[in-house]
Amino acid sequence: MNARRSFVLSTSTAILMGLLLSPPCLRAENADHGSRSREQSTHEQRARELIERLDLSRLQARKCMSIAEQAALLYIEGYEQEARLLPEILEAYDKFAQEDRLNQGFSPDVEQRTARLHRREIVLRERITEQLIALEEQAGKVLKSSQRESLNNFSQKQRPVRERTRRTDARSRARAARRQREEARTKPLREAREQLRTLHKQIHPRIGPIGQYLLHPFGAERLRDVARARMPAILTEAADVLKHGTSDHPVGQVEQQKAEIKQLRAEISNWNLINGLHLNENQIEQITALYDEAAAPTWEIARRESRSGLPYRTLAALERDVEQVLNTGQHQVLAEYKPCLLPPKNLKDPVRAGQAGDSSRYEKWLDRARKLSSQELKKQIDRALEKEAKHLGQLSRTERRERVALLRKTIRQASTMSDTEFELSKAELAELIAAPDRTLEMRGKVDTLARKYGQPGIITNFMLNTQFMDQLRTRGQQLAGGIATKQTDLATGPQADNCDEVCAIDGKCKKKSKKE
Amino acid sequence: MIPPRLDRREFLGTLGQYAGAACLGCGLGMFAESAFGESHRFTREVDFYTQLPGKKIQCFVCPLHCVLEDGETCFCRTRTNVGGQLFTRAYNNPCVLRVDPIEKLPLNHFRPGTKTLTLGTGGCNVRCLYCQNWQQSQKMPDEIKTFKLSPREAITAARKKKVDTIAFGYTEPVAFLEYAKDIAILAKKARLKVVVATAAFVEPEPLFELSEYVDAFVVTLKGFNEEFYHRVLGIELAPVLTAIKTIKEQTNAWLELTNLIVPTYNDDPDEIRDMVTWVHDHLGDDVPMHFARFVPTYRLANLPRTPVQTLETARAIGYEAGLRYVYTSNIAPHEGTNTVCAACGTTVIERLGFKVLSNGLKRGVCPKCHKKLPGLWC
Repeated sequence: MNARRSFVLSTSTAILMGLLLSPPCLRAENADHGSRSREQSTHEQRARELIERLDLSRLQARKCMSIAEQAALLYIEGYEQEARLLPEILEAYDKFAQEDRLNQGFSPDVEQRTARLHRREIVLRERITEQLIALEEQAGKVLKSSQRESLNNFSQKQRPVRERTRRTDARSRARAARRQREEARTKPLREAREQLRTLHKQIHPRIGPIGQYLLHPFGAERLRDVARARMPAILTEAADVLKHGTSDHPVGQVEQQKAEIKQLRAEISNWNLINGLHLNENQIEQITALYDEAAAPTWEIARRESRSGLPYRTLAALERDVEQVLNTGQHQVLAEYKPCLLPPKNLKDPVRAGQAGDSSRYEKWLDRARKLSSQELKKQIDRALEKEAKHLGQLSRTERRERVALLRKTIRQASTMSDTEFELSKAELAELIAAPDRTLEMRGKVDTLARKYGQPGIITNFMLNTQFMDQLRTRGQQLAGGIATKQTDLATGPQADNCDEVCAIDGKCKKKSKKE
Repeated sequence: MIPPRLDRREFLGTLGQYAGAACLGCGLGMFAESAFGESHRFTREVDFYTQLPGKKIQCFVCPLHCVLEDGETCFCRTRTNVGGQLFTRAYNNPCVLRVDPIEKLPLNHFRPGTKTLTLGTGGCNVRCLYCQNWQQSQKMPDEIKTFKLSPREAITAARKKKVDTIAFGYTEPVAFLEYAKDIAILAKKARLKVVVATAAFVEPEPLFELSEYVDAFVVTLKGFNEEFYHRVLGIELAPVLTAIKTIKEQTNAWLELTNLIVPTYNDDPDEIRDMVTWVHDHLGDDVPMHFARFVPTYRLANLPRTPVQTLETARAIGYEAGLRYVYTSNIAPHEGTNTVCAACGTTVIERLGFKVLSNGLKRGVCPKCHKKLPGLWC
């Protein structure tokens, strides 16, 4: 269960950040995956920029090249292992999406297979990333402190900027002034977004510019030029694998599978939200009509405005309209929603009427912890905090101290209770120690500020895009079409025990003999 | 003090004496423990049974009327014939003990937004193939983890947890009727409300006796055909309908009905129509009816969840039949969980699952049309 939660959390946060930090129009653009050659030229260009900025000496370049050789092995290994995994993932996600579309739960085998493959994918990515980060650190030591500092604002997302002639006419000056005023006005929002970004980086460490460009096989040529050395065979081989693929897994096929998986992931994530929102036919009709009405101009405006850095006014207006269609419960679901492959418990399997066994994760943890010796307890708390840090972000030293004190106090309180008393109090105690989801809190803050400054928020990020709307229309048709049910033949299915044969649970029917 | 020196013979002799004494002590302890355990387990005699020749007995709590030899236990797994007397194993022995929202029972017209201390014990006289609490209900109280809680302690616990309602549910209260009744009696004295969530497969007399102390019943009407009741639940429908009518006609308790719709088993619209028509004709249009979503479990784990459209159709059928308050359960957020004034159509209580998000009722009166909604609101 915990493993499954971790999958959901990690993927969801990754997708969430992607969605939050890029407007839908850009996402649509990104969805159209680029060719390898484009990727190669971008990498080479970025590597060139980086090397120029670093002003590497020949010796440094040589040292970096030897590290790049190790990185090349990782890149090859990553490509091959991922390529082997992709067909399986594609098949599993496809089946999962088909079941998700019906909104009638998942077959255990389909759900388990998807979870298993998703986990393997994450483990592979995390392992390769971890090792590349270690190599990156090694390469960082080769650089001087001034060179390392110069990397600070070398954004990975930054695209090559074309030099423009600075316009100095009155109109452009007015525009610049307006932009400055707007930027000053929305400063708190930008700060909140930055905090969210930082938190996300903490939870999901990424390879920095050194690992991504300097040590990447596509950047090796530029590095070789500076080092004035022969190109190591492994670097050429790695560049070749990344450019053309292997004989078993040509790059075109791998790219296509990746794109299909990406598409399926987005579809599944949308279904999870649609299934969780339980929109009725009328709501679906209203939302799609609002979208259709605003769609054409919206995307144009959004695209233009995103370039100019001004708020997406039309999108924000559309969002306000859609907001009116949703009810309070649906707003709450949206506020807590994280894009995910495997839907979390509250969306997939909410607590049911009359259901007894619905103890939360913290209740179970407390029940275990209250029976432990003080030494075991210390280990248990450390493990719990480690897990929390992985999913919810690192705590500062003071925060950690406070959290440990709270956990200890609560466990002490729980261990002095009788079993009966604990059973009655465990829900309250669990609520007390539940770690707040800082990503969600921060996202809520960003959304509130976005609303304040008339900018699009959560609804735009999750719902206002063509794919989501198409899926919503499909759900609308499903609801309108009703469902045909063929009744099970009760005589052939499993039969409940009844008193016809046995009266007492451990004996035979005495009523019959009595009647006889 | 220096211990006296013993020779080898004396040492072995003393050791033997100590060992003998230890064995005897141990044996006596085990005997005492088992004797105490038995007597502790059977502290409360069942109220409704008759003795038959040869230390046999016949139970009359539920319509099964089990006939038991000495040492045998009823179909419900909780009542055992001990030497010609019928005792309950469930007394003081709950396995579920929770403070929950009252909406989880589910009750929507009874003190909304309040909490209840809910108790349940092992055992059940129904054998639902889709029981969601089968780990408790399909076991004897002695086979599962339980908590020692006397009726008096249950009242103290409710007071301590600051809840003013005690509910019996999760497993079938008919299986622990004696325990439930004794708690209910004390609860009334302590001015606490009492709620029973049951499948109502019970004889009228025990039900009537319990209902004296009960403020609300939630009855699960699991389907509306005898074959379904017989093959999927292992019981009969007719006694359940009699019990529901008894509650409505002969007691002052508030009544809500719930029906869990199992896909392809009891989701036939015609059958649902028959059921709601019966409810309307025999119980009236003010009895709230909940249609709950099925989630695969226990012996029907291979089925899909109930499609939301099915629940919405069932709700629409309920309204068509003339019922005024029809809900959907186990899906959230859904408009079917909200309470809408039947007179003016205003949403008066908004819910997200079992959580009350807003309650516009003032002492059960609609803020818009000022009509009183049926139910027990404070």
